[in-house]
Amino acid sequence: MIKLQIERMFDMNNLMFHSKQLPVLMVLLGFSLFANAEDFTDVNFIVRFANLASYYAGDDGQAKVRMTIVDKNGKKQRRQFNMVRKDVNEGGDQNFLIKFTKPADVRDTVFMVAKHIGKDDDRWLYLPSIDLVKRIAAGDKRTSFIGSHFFYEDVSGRGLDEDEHKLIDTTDKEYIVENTPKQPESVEFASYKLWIDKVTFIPNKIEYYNKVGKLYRSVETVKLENIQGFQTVVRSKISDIQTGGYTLMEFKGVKYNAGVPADIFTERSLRNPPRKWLGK
Amino acid sequence: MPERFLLILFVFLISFPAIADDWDDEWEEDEQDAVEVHGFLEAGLGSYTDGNPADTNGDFSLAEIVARLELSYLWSDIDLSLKGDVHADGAVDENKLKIREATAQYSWNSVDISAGRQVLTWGTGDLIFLNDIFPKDYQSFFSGRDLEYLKAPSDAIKLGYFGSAVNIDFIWMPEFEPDIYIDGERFSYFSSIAGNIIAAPPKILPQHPSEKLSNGEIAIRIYDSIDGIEWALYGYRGFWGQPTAIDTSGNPTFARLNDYGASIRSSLWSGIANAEISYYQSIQDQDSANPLVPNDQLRFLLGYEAEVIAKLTFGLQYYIEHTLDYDELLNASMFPRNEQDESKHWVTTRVNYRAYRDNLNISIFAFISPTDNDGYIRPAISYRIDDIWSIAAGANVFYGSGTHTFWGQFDKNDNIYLRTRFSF
Repeated sequence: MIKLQIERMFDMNNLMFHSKQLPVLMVLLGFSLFANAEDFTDVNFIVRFANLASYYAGDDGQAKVRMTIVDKNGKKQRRQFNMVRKDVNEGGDQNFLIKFTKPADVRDTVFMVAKHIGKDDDRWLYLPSIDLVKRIAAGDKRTSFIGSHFFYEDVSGRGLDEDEHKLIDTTDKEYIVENTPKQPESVEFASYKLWIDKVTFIPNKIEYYNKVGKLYRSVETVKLENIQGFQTVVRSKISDIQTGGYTLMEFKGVKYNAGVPADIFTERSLRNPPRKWLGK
Repeated sequence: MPERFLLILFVFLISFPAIADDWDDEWEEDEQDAVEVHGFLEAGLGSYTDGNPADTNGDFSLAEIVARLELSYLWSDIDLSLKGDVHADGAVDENKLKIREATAQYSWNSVDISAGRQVLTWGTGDLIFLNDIFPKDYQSFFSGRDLEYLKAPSDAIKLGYFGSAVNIDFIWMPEFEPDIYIDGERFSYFSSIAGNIIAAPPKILPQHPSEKLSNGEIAIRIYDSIDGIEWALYGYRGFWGQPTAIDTSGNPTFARLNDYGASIRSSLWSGIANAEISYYQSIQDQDSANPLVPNDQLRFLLGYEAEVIAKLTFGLQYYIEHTLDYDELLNASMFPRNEQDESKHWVTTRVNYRAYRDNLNISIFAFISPTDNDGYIRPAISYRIDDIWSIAAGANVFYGSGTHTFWGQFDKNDNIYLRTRFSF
């Protein structure tokens, strides 16, 4: 009964329902599980909800992020940045500002993204050493994000309409969803599987398979924290199984609904990042 | 001097903390009230490959060690920043402290102010500048130094106003700051008077505008963005960046220049398109009859850049420099055969390839002029070994069928270079 209500509420409002309902929905979902309700069976509902839980917590968010990049020889690199996000509409467009704090050669570089659904994102980079605001051509979203093993798309989210989703199994804890690309030539994988937690709707694990069905890449949720009622992946690990390298990503100081103004996602912030949101 | 740098380098190497192995190592964070200290040490070596007659030691186009120190401090809401290079230059035997940035920056509601020495950049071109009239360092650009050195700093006050309708940048540079142009010391050039390619000695020693307030520079940009389409209008009052005029006593000097322009930049298909236009008003030569002062020009730029296949970016630009009142120019000119074409056309191409999670970067940038039959090709490769060490190598190749054309005059300046940088 509750399950039906949630599914209907979701459908009626399409993707536009307000994120402040997310904790409420979480409680309902928790309750429905507690009440030993039926599992969800609509795969589109499951992946949409997982997408919202992963990428749209709150109307805005703020965090410090650190990446440890380890290559196949065990050699390490670091990236550290402050990030602020504001949703334009729930489940839809989002704006991001990222200011690097480490390592020394990229420190103070600022990256701005206007994420769009159904068309290419707009991206800008500010290089402080030459005071240059560079607009970056929409690139392949499945290449290294700032030198890590994460892809741009892992961090910003992959459009739900780009894959066919199939619920292949439901276990005690997880929905297992297999995704195949609608345009196979545009991506390096043949399919990927999501292990979506039934309670949090955060994927515990993602595995990517190549054309011959071999696993070559995986993302694991290592640590989840409840922050202001939002389940938040604060530690994740991505492994390049083919080459043996991996990247650890950590979040710190996460804050949601912090009141990020909509008008800070501009050239002004690229050249002079607002201290309040992106640190000193 | 080099020994001392090596010692500093060694101390940094052994004291740099290793990154711990697991999730639980402490985050390195900058303290709020401390002075942040960063910088790099860089060694660069380069050689001419075509017997350049320029006045450097041996065949060295680059032989230097640079120690960069960057300090920043937040002092009651005012950002203070100081960046300087200790530059030991073996190519021309010169040791110098060069301040690249010394600014105080403050933001108040819809206004940002930044005062002091600073690098200033705007406009939409890729290595082509129309309305960006801030000083460029072509000696660094041609010798294979890091791209950041293409832009030389200005002593300026920059006011930014951010309104709901438009944004306005207003920049005042009390003293005219010319380009660091090709003067014969490192790179040879064509002299109309000599009728040939020449090099220092003597260097070009131009007459600078006198230091009075009315000889300061003012630059304005009015800009905004609508649905991802960025537009801008530009204005400038100052001087040509290079000593292309001749004063009454026969010395090279900088002619007065006003610039009016506009640009637009937007995503188009899967790439970025840009267009920019500028009108260079050479106000000392309004009847175009003075051969000692450059004529007015119209400049046009169209550009497009896209990632054509994963990690491979391709850029294309078309640039036209159109000289106005060209017949008058030819009639008055002492060397009409050496004057640039009425319309000089350039095509530029950029090919960029990234590999190994962006640690390796390979690029070729080419300026090609179909009207001058000359060009300039910049192949470069850089590799980021880790967060501390990086290396870069490349070449600067000039060619041309004539000795007096823009790129053709630099034909003897071909060089190759190698740089290693240690960042901290």
